[in-house]
Amino acid sequence: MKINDVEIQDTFAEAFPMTATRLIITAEDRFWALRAAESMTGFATSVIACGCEAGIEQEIAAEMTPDGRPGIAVLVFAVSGKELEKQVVRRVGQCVLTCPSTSVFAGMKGEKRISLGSHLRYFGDGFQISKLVGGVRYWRVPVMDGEFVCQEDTARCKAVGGGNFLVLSENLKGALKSCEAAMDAMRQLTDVIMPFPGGVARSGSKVGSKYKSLNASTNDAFCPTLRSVTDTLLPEGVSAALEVVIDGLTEADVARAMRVGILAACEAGRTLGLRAITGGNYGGKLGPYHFHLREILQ
Amino acid sequence: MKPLTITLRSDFTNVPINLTGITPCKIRELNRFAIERLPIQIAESEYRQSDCSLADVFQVADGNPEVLRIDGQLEHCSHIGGQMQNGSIDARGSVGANVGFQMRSGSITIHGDAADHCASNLRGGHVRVTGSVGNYAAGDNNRGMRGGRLTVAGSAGRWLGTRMRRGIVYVGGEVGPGAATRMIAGTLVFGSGAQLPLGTDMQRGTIVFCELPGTQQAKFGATDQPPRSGEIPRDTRQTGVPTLDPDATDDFRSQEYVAGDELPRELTRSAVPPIAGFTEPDIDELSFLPILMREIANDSIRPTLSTKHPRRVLRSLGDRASGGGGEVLWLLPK
Repeated sequence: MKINDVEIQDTFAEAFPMTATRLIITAEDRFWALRAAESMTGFATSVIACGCEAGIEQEIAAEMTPDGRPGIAVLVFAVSGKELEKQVVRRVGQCVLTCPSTSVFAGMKGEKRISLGSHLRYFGDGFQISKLVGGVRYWRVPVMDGEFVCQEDTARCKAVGGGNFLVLSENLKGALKSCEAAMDAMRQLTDVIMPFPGGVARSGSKVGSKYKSLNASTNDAFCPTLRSVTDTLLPEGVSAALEVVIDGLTEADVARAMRVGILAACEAGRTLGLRAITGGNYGGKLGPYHFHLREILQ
Repeated sequence: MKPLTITLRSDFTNVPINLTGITPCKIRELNRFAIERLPIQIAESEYRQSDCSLADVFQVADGNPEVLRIDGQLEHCSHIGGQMQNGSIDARGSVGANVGFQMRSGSITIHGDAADHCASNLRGGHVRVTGSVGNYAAGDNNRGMRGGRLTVAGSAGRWLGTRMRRGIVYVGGEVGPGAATRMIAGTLVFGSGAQLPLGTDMQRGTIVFCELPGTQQAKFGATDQPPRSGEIPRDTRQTGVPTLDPDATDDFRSQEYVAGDELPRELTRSAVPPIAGFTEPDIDELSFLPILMREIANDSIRPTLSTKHPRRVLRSLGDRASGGGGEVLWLLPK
């Protein structure tokens, strides 16, 4: 199968189950909402060492936010509800509560809940005020610029993490430009985030390591410098591979994002040396979700 | 489909009737015969009550049991919607005391006035009154409103929200003296003015005035002679309320203040009168207010606000005399 002369390899990308929540961060203007969202979703590229994977999902117009101010929706993914709650409270407490003029609200509905303001309220040292409006409890925590408003809790849902595709190019520039095009297209979608810097990872990993203390290590099959000493999966002439990683709220969301991203990459990369698209296939060891590239693109 | 309608028989218009339990959630599961046999209490004299069936006192007409319509001269019918769990009640005319007694969910609309203790023991749901309410609305000497919402288009009598613990009350018209006395928590929103005393021994909770005093119809002040028990104050101007200096308020409204400006403290303090036990008001910006006011505005009975997203307020805290942490807010025009 080829798209714009770019080969789509007959393989699948593996993904694994996660749990996720959406938060809406609002502020006096877009600048401060974005600063808080960027800070909160920083150092959240991989659950391997960050505790969670997080990213900015979309901007929300002031008319659509609970308090009528410009908002940013962020998605946070973790491997368990307990870990998700720990990460959300820690990150909101250190990155949103501290950011001038911000407030934070739940961005999804559901029965399974994780704490938010119910932990952060203690920062108010007894001066915090609770308000129950429309069946939703909010906490008003006095801070130096007025009040930090925070919803008591937020919902969480089952999600899919680690959806991916690999861009194989004749040169690094072609790989980068293809990924940038893919990201531009995928950022228009909701319900997904691409948690790595710019949405792209250059250090794709495989399951396991020769070192017992590590459960992931470099994906040597895609390292061009190891082509001659490992069982390489790089086609002849390819000298750079980059991995686009996708977390989504559902399997369908991840598949949709992969399709949009791959098509955009093939469109942009045709003249820049893009040779093939493949998936992170770990032989079924990584997770139960298998995204077959050719099925997605049909 | 038209609602299930019960109409008070003319023989009983002057007899106190307790309608606790006559609710859509109970009627829904019954046939016409069983509905007519539902027991209600009427007071034959001050000291003697007797049980009788619904059909003895009301004419019952078939209809959708999810909506119960009550017609007739209902001034002596108390506890309308008592112990209601869901559904809605539509009362056509002024009603007696204790509307929404121990109600947990659903909605009650009173097309007229409601007497004392309206929504006093409300735990959930929404009570709307298109007219005015008497004393102790959402309040009680033991336990006030504990959840839900009360919306009053007209005025409210004395002791509104006394010992209120949770929930939201909006009153469009004048509010009598003693509102929020010993208030534990919850939110009172006033579209117009209120008479002192206000917030005495208030522990927590929020009182919001949608207008500064002296603007449009809003007033705020003290009465020399509070209205008699049961009297609903229609207009504080008729009860001798001194309105505040309108010039000071106009000056305040005519200026546009932005963050970083020196606070016009003298102007601020002259815009609203002191409330005993409360701190002097200062200008604050509360990003929570649009959430509250959007909820208040999401109803057919709602205030007219000068701004879509009100945030700037004059804020006063109290009752500090008893260590309370309640707040009184006056919305500032944009």
